[in-house]
Amino acid sequence: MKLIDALAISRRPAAQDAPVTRVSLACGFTPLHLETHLLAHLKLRRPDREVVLTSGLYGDLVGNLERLENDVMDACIVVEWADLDPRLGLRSLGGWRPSSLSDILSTAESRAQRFGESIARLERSASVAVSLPTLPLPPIGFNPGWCAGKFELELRATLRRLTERTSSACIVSQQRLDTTSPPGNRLDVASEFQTGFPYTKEHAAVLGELLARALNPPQPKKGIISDLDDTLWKGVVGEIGSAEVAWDLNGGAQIHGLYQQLLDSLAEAGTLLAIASKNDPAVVEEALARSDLALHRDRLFPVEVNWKPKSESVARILSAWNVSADSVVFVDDSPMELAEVKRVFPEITTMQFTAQDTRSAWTMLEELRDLFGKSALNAEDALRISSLRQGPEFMQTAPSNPTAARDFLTSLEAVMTIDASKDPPPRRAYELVNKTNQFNMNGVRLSWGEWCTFLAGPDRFQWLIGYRDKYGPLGGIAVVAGERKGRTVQLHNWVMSCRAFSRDIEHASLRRLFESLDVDEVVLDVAETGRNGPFREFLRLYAPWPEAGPARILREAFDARCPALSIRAQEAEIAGPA
Amino acid sequence: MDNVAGWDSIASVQLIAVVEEEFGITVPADRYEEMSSFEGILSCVLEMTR
Repeated sequence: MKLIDALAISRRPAAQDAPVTRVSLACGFTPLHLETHLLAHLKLRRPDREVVLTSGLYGDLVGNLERLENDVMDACIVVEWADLDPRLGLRSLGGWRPSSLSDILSTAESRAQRFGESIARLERSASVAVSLPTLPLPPIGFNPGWCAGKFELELRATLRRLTERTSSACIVSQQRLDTTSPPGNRLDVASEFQTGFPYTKEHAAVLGELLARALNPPQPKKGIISDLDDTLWKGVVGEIGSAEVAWDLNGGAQIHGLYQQLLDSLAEAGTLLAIASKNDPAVVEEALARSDLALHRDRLFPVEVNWKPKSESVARILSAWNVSADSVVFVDDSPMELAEVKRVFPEITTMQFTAQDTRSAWTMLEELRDLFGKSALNAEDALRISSLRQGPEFMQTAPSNPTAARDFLTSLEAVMTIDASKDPPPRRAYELVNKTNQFNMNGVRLSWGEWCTFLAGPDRFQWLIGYRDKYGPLGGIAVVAGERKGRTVQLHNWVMSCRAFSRDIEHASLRRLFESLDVDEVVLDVAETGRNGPFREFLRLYAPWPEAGPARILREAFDARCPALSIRAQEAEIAGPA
Repeated sequence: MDNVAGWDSIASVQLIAVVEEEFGITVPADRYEEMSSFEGILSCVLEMTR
């Protein structure tokens, strides 16, 4: 983005009554164009918010960080070498003598440790993005520039002090930065002398965008639907047979093996994988049964192999996964197949696997990693595929007759657990609030800092609801968050994973709200999102959807209409507001 | 610039940076003073892009 465009965007007024998001940029230099680019990208990523960006005092990163700890939702922390010791910057004449090096290292080590402690405290209640030194070191020491001497190596090692205590802060990737902002084009010596801003305009633009993305990462997509021939493997299995399709160096097909390896890795991290292929099912099963497949066969569900249009296979896969097309990537080597699927599902992301152009195929692997990457793994990631596989079994077993269906739910031996921790709240609750679409009261998305700020009030609460039954655990599958006001509880967020539908968990959650908070009314800040039909359907049982303002469920209405529930709540784990 | 309310040194630096980026030039520090009026900026840009 050019500076003139960033300035125009950064001055755009927010919508009237937009909630305020306070973001701090903590650095030791004049923030100048970095601040402009960061604000512009933050505004683009949070159009529903009034973003207020503040920066601290020049030359005082330590103080700027410590001042942040009191009142901030989101923070970008930019550390440069001069923050670790001014002698590593261009505006100090403190000396570069070889005899000074050990003292510089000692200062850098202790400052890095202090920064790291501040960052670790800050990330408990705020979204934090950190940029480690991006500028070249000055010509300090005695080694020639092409040789990384002991001083440089030890100095770079001190950076571990900055990150070793952090758990959720996003550290801007040096590799990505090197790709998009060449290291030799980052330092502007004249600007550093004249204004105290050390970055070139180009580097400021790239770093501002990366910091904004680190603070507001896109939600990871949920599933990949892949073709087989000349995509998952090289060759057409129906023509050459299952033994001859290849995905390794010997077969000249290593890029296919790497693709399998990436899919396997993403699946272990919770990404759903399915196959849509025009083929003979028996031959495909032979190939998928090969022991040298770099992708575990059990990761693939469903495997749709037939001769019908691929859009029909994609439709069945989306139905089995119960996810929408905009959460999914479809990969195929054929532009015609990609176009056919895209025509039926315009929201789906399509990617062409171009094995003949390995550079392009490699770029596609990197893009897939970006689309599905997440900051941390949790227990639910491992449960997702197994619970989806159980879904059809569950639905087939569940009787359609209402009386028999009640008996079936009773037979599940279901247990609901509630984790009401607030300091810090569980990451899984935050993840659910930001990714759930169908059973979602209002579609409100929050940053980690906004989430922590909301929960900081004494009468505010969040419940992360877990569930298990005789079919196995589903993990943390729902979140209820709100505020108790006398005999009323006002809900700001209520979401539930689609994996948990048809088990009465939503009714049981509502019952727990009435009973354990001892309130007469539940007020829900509802909003139609275009995708939350299942939530609106649920609400209809207890209250009309309001034309404006919140919905209200009275306890009498709940008691009169709630179905007989057999889910057992683990009382010991329930803890609401006082 | 003296006639623009709220104008400060940061605004001047931003303006020079925008001019540099838009016209692909690097304004040397000793010409910053000239960049305090439309005529000064125009003259500098014309000279440096000639």
